[in-house]
Amino acid sequence: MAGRFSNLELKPSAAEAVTAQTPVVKGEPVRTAADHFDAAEQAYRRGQFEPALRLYTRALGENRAMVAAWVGQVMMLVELGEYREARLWSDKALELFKSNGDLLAAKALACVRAGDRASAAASSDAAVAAPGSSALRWRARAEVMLAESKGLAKECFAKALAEANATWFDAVEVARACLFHNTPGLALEFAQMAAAKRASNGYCWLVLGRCQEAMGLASHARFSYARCIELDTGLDEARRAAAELDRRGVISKVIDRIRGVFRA
Amino acid sequence: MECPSCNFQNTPGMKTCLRCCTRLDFSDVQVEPPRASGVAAVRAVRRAQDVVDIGVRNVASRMTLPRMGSGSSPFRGATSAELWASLIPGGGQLVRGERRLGRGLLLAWLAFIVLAAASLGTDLQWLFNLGIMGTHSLAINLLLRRELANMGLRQRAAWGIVIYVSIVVCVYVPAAWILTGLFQVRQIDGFTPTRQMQPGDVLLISGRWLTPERWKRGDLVYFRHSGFNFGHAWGSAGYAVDRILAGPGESVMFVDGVPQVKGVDLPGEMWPLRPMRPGFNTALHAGTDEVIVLPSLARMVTGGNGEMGTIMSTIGRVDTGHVYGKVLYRLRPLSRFGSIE
Repeated sequence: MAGRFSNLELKPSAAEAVTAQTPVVKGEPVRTAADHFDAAEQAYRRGQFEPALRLYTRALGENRAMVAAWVGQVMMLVELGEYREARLWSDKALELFKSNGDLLAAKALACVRAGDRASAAASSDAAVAAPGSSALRWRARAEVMLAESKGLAKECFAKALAEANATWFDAVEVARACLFHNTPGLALEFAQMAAAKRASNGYCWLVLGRCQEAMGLASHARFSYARCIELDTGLDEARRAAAELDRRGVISKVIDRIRGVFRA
Repeated sequence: MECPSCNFQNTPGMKTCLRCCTRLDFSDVQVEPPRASGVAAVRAVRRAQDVVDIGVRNVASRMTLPRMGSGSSPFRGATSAELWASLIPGGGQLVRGERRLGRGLLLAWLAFIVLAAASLGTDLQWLFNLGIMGTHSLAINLLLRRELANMGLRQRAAWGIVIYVSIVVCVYVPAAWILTGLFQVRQIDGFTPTRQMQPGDVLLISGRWLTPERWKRGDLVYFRHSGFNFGHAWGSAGYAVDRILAGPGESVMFVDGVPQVKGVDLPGEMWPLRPMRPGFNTALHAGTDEVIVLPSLARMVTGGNGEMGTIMSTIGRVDTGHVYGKVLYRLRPLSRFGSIE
């Protein structure tokens, strides 16, 4: 029977008619600057700085007046260790958005990481004096304090985390900043805080693992890396860190223990 | 159209903010950030440049100096940090942010230093020394150029001279004094060549601060010898290089040309650079502030063999105050650079 009526021209159903009339759109959906910016922020929160930088650039391609994307670009250059470029780019962005507090804070971070404490202090002062307030400004302030070995760094970090716009990721960034400035005890404190706030995020555990490793707590670090891999299978950095930890010899382990005692 | 800086609502189409003059039209702004070079060596060089620049700036920012000059002084055109940093040519420019000019001046100055070091003891050295001081003076003049530009030609020339003389007196004379306290460079000339030493050799000798309290036997020293004149045999006074045969209060005997101290032959490495000929017999006694050095390198025209003992006892005893330093290295010619055997 089926073969007999298969060639008949029947009236199409209503659903098929709609499908036939709608043009098929191929390729990527149209993305706005906000979409690119959100994607960049997500990449940043997974510690993927290179893709994040590209996404911030795309966001700016769509909307050049998006100050947060300029700040994001500078921050990504800082995270990638390209301080000279970060400084250059922040200066360029500041030509467009004069006295923007977050841009000044990002510049302060670039300067302080490059070792230029005088410029960092000047930028940080200007950032704090600029209208408004943000976690980034206080974080930059705290890093300048850390670099100058002034005792107020912890208070500035606390102020950054107490800001209205502060998130769990700011605690992660604070921990990473402390690690950069060789204060793993303080870093561990903030990394634990971040992991407690967002235990479901793999990157939190990766940073926690880094802090524990720096403190000489190898077994804790191993657990944190395992947790990170479990939560976020795409984080290759955690796998590498765990593998490096396993490859360590007895002498390195002993040295780590001793370092841990003194750093605590 | 909202200003991103001050949030002022501007009329659509405005290129700059009416309130804060911030740019509103970003259509031609480049958004691709600069990236570090992929070559590790380039990154390392840039990092080193940054470390130097930042180091100079950090050191300068910690120094405090009252603002120099007032009224018509050109020094009011520079901050104290810039002036302090100008102790090294180009440092002031680096602090001010004129990085390219600062680096250029610093490189030129370093190039003159290298050239001066390479030409130590030669006739060209003064030219490169002049270059070192000239570059330094130029760097400070360029730092103060805005103030100097407002002055007349005579006033500018006068300030140029003042700056140059100040640099020489305050920086280079003390630096030279310190350096010569550590090391000195001397060209040896006017002597009979030996296996170890040739006329025109440039030697590095220890400075006045490195002079030992008591000279040792066998030390190769640079000293001043007094001349002698016995009528038919004479030798000109001057500077020479040779080995100390006996220290203060000691005696040395020459037996058939071989030096002996307390009856023991001196080993070959302690002999004078030009050994005495066989058949030479004499005894030399050093006073409490004298050493025995035979200036075999000095230009001497001597008489008969019999007078050598008398001559040597006259000029072989050298006052310890006339021994200026120990010979450390031969600097020139470069083909024979190194220690002297």
